Amino acid sequence: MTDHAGPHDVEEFRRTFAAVRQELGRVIVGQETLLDLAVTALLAGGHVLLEGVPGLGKTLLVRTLAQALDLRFSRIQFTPDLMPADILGTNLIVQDDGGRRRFEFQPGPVFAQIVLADEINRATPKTQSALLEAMQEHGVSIAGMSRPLEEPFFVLATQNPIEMEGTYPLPEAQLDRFLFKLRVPFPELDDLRAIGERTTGPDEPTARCVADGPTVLRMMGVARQTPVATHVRDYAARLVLATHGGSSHGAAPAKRFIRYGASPRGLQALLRAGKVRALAEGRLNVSVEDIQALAIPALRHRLILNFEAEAEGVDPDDLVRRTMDELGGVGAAAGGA
Amino acid sequence: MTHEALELAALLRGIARRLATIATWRRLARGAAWGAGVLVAWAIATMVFPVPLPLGRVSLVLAALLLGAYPVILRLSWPSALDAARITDRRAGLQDRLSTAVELLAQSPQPPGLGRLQVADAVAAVQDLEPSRVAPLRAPRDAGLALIGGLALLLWSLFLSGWSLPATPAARALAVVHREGRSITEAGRRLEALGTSQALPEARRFGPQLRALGERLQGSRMDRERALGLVQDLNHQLGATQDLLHRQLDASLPQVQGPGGRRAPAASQSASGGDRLQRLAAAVRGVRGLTGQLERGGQPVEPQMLSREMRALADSLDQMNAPVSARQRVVQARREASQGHLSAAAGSMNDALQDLEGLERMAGDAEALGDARQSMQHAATSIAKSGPLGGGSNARVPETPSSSTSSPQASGPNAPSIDENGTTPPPPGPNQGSLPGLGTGPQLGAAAPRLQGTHVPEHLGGTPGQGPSTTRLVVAPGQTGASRVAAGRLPASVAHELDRAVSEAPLPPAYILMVRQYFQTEGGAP
Repeated sequence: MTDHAGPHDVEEFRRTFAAVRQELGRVIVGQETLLDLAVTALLAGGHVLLEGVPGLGKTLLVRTLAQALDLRFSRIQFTPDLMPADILGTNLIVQDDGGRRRFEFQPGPVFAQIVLADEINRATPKTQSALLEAMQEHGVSIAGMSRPLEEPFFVLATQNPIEMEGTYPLPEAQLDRFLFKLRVPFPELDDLRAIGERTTGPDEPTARCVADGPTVLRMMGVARQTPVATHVRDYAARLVLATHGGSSHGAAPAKRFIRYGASPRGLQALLRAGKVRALAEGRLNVSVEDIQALAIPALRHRLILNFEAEAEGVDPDDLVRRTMDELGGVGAAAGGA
Repeated sequence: MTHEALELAALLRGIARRLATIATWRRLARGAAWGAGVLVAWAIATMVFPVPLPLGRVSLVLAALLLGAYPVILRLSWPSALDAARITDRRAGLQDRLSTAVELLAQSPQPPGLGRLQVADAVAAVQDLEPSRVAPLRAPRDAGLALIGGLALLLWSLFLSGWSLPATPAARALAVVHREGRSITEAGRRLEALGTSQALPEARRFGPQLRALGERLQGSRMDRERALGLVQDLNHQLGATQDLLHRQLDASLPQVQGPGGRRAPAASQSASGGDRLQRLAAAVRGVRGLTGQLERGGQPVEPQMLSREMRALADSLDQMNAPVSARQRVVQARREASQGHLSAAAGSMNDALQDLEGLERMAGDAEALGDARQSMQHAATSIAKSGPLGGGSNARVPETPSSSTSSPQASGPNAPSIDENGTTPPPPGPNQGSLPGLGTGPQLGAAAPRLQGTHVPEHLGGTPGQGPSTTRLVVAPGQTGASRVAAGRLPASVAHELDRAVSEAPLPPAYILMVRQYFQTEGGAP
């Protein structure tokens, strides 16, 4: 059990969160909401699936985050011929000076604290599942031996929404393991101008280290202690239940377009991320507005649409938004990345 | 309990009180708006249907209900501290700070860790929060509707109450009130004329009242229930005065006691009363005649005949239980006449005459009031039958013998009745203005065609002027037996005219047959 957090812990959380955001903002132009949600997911102990076309700064984001937090970073480019061992690592036969041979574990790129799984949908399901198991368990099992991953462990997976040929879309059960699915929007004109200015000069901006692994772990512990009122928890539960068309609490859009709604992991994601957001916003309690602001990134990838929705091209974001409308009290900040 | 908890509890108590008050006002205003709406609809309905609207009583009941419901609704609307906190969070933009703090304090007076910090944060957030900002006391929106409804009812009661739309049941009911108003006006005129001509004080007093009431009933905005109340009030006064006169008459002129000292049965009292009045009138005539004879001292008077007549008169007064003073004066006059003191006898007889004339006026007054009561009773019955009545004490259907019959009847003093076979006979006499079966509904039937004739008005000659006038009621004694006027055949011209009129009249054959039989029985044509 974590010790009860005090005012200093809360202060440290706010200060560090703001500092990390500032460092990210120094390097990455625009994408404010995306950066906020990425840091929120990290501190909530979840992983993020980024969806966007190439060249939008996804790798830069992960690298900058690792620099700012002084965490070990690795990047895995997923390809169809990528094998699980290429990610997890393998036992190699090593000969020592005495000529004796022995197996020695050679850790794969997953043994880092921030992992960028680039174009994760290009690898085979077998390889995907190897990473996803590591994401869920924060550890890997190789040759009958469990090897824990170093905390904090944060995976940022990306996928390209327009090139679907030769890809293996992630199954719903595996999508459910991501705390957020974030869409990386194309920069606006002003942002493009700034990108051109910043990245083509003699000195490229770099992030300073403002925290470390233990600090991040402390921040995660503080966030988990944030109190949640009963009605806020009820709202999150009703929102999750409203995405189930077969439920008596199901909302009208869910009944029409959703084959299967969000899982309990969706509720957990809402509350965990809500706690981080509340602290980051200077509050010591989770509010309904927090849940509403996080509902789309936390639930959009957990909805399994039916044929009618696919045929009509219904956007899951729109479904979540309409479900919140029907539930009442939709917040203006319900947009999100 | 910590300082923060006390501070939050005080704030939430004030907010809860305001929220409960606002909710109570809103519910009461909605109730008042609904009530006003129903009353407005009711008021409009009174212009179409003859339904009464006791606006004052209904408004009082509604107001009492709303006032009585206030504490109950206030108690039921009182929110819990958590509900008040949630509402405050939402309205003051506190992002659930207050409700979270209330929940944490409910779990533990001193929550640990971040809980304690959260409570402190909530207290700091509401430090400058005024309950009036969270729950401002404003007039609810429905209060405007209730106000508009009340205003509409006020205007209705001032300008539209009693009005009815044409060709509606309410208009027909109002027509009945107007018609009865005319009949009461006419009855008032008759009563006033009778009172003036016969010097009847009560008739003179009530005549103008009846006339004023009748004119008031003919107003265009007379409410039917109010009209019935006014008629019944005046009728009650008439009855009380008539009863008083009857009691005074009974005291001055007691009924003849039956065998064994018993009074006559109640059913025969009116008949015996009429007989008594006839005897009184006869006695007055006798006294007046004898007084005249005595006063005409120059004319030769047969003493024995005079004494015999005076004895007969005294016996007659004894039999009818005339006042003792009048009897004593007649006896005294007889004694004085027998002694030859004719002028003194005339004086005594004059005194006796004045006593008896006073009684006669009293009896005439009572009879005139009785006639007026009948008119009033009939008007009240007609008005009451023209539609449903409210529950007011002044609006009961008058209990009259005619009201016990359930079949509709034509109005008027000679309305057709239903015979034993259940069929409606034709009108029993002229001037009914309706055919059999007509005149019984809410609308009057067409007037019956009159016989053709020429009306020649005759006027008295001379110049009208003012001066003293004396009137005298000449009442001839009733006689039984056949008419002294022998029935003869009608002149041919009259018989022809009658035949033509009957054949042209849209009358049922049965009625025509009855008319013919009547005239044939009387010996005339057709």
